[in-house]
Amino acid sequence: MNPVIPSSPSLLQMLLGLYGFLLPLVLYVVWSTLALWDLGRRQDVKPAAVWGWAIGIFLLPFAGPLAYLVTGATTLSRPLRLAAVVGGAATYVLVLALGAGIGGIA
Amino acid sequence: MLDGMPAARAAAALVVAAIGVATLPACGKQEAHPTGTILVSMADNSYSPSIVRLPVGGSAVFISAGRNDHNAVAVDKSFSTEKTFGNIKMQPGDMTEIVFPTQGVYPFYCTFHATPDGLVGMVGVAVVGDVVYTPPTGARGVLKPVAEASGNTRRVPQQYPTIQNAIDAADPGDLILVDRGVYHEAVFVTTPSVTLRGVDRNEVILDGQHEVGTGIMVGANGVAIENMTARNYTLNGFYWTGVQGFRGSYLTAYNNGDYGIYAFGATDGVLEHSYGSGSPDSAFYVGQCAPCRVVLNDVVGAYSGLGYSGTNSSGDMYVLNSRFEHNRSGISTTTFDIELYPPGRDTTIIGNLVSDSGLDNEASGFYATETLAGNGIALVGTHTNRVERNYVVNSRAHGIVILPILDRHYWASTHHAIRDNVVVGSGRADLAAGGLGTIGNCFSGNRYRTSIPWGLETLNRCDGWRAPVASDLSTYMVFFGSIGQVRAGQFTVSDYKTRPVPPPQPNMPGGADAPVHPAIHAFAEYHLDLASIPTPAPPAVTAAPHP
Repeated sequence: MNPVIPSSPSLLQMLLGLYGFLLPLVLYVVWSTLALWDLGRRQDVKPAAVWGWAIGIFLLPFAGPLAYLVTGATTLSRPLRLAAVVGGAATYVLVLALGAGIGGIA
Repeated sequence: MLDGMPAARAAAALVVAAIGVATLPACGKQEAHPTGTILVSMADNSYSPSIVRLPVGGSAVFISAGRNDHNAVAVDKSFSTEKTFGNIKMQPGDMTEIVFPTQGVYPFYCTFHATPDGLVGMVGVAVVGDVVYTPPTGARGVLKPVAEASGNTRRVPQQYPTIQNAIDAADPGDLILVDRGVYHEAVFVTTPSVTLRGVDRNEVILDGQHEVGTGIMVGANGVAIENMTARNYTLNGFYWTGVQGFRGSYLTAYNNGDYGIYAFGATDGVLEHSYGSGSPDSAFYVGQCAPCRVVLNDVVGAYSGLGYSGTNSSGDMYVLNSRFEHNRSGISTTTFDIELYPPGRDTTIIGNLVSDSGLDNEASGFYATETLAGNGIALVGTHTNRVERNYVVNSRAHGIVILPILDRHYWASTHHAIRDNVVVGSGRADLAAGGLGTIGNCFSGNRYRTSIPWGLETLNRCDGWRAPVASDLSTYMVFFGSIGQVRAGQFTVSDYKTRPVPPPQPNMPGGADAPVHPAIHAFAEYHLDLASIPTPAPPAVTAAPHP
């Protein structure tokens, strides 16, 4: 059998594991909510386009809301969109990179 | 420092800090120095364990577990539960902790139930540190275990009126053959390498009549017990403790008040072809051993708090080809600080059929089993268990679940491999992993329908890449929730005294005439062929899940 006793994970490993699990869920919720909220406030889109975007946001997790936030959103400020999209994604990548670096988060 | 912080962030910081406090003591500590706390139950009228081995600075928690008042006082008066507890009488349920700072051998006794010299009655001994301790031997001196049978047979009741008489007269290597009958005895085996055998498994019965503690307690190496039944004891049916080399074959233990078939601090053993049922704690228990070198093969555990329970069974532990049905939970590996050698690890669980766990109130149980009730296989605060080719069906909560446990330390549950199991009909999820630090576990080839978190198997394969979707918090919250429910007394279990009487069980091949082989090398001689163990067939008729 395994002669080496695996040590319990460190606090940092536990937290990174938790973030690694939670962040994708949080980002999905935040991105789709922002996209739908913006879509609802806009006066310049025709009903057919609203339907198209809404279906895209619902049916294509991550890709749909991201496409909308990058190309379609107009009522949201550019810094907010940048922070939500690039900042959120970068945070997840950072968690993954840190996790891969110290090991043992998955 | 928290001023000006949004409330949610402040709360999050506090949660993280609390987790940190609970976590830090465990980090990097448990490998090198096993924590030194051991639970000593004081029942009517004996200590269990009666030889308490501790590291220097370790402690013993004495708990009064019988129906009478007890205490523990050192013969040399160096310690007394009266000093730590505040009363010479400890009533059922009372407990107190005593620290042993100095190396040495400390006999102790119960002032109500033993002589003050610590020699007769309810007596025990604390062996602290790395000192040689030889239990008192009586007139015959120290008897050495032997690996071969002596060829002598001592018959009960034809030659000796009681089993205890025959044991005390026996030499290592002898066979003690017990004839049909009901024996109201509490046997204590101090002769090594004897084989204690009934002529008929179903008609050689030790009966405690709900008054006597343990049917057969073994404190000598290499003792085999075969082909008999123990029932209605207030504690255990068959019990090996502090021994090296043991075997239990074709045993039936039912409606005993603590464990059915029980090995504590015992190594190099085999428990096989046996049936345990109706025990509030567990039908089969192997605990506090590192490495254990113990095999459970072809046993049935039923109507108990747990079918199989292993606490701090740390290395070379095997649970194979067995059936666990109608228990509060089927199989559990657990880590507690209250016993030596945490964390539990390296338990191999292959080819078992685990059914109807926690589904109804037909099983016996007590508060400690209820926090985990409803799980088929639970790996709690342990490491590197191998769970393969089991059939787990109809579990109230989870089929196979991995959880950490918070005792004095926080014990994460990590690096288990769950492969090729069939897990169906679980109330909450077939596969589940919960809690912080539940990492390094892998899942491959299982047949299941639901998992929590989603993607548990897909994203944590044993032979592929892994994503940090290793556990979620909800499963741990369920665990905490059931702790709360148990503390509020909201659970129903059945009285162990009234659980179903098992049907007649198969006798040992050869019966009284089977070859005699002392159990001193029981594990080393056991042929382990893990690769050929098949996944069991589903039970013929499974109970319908309760609403």
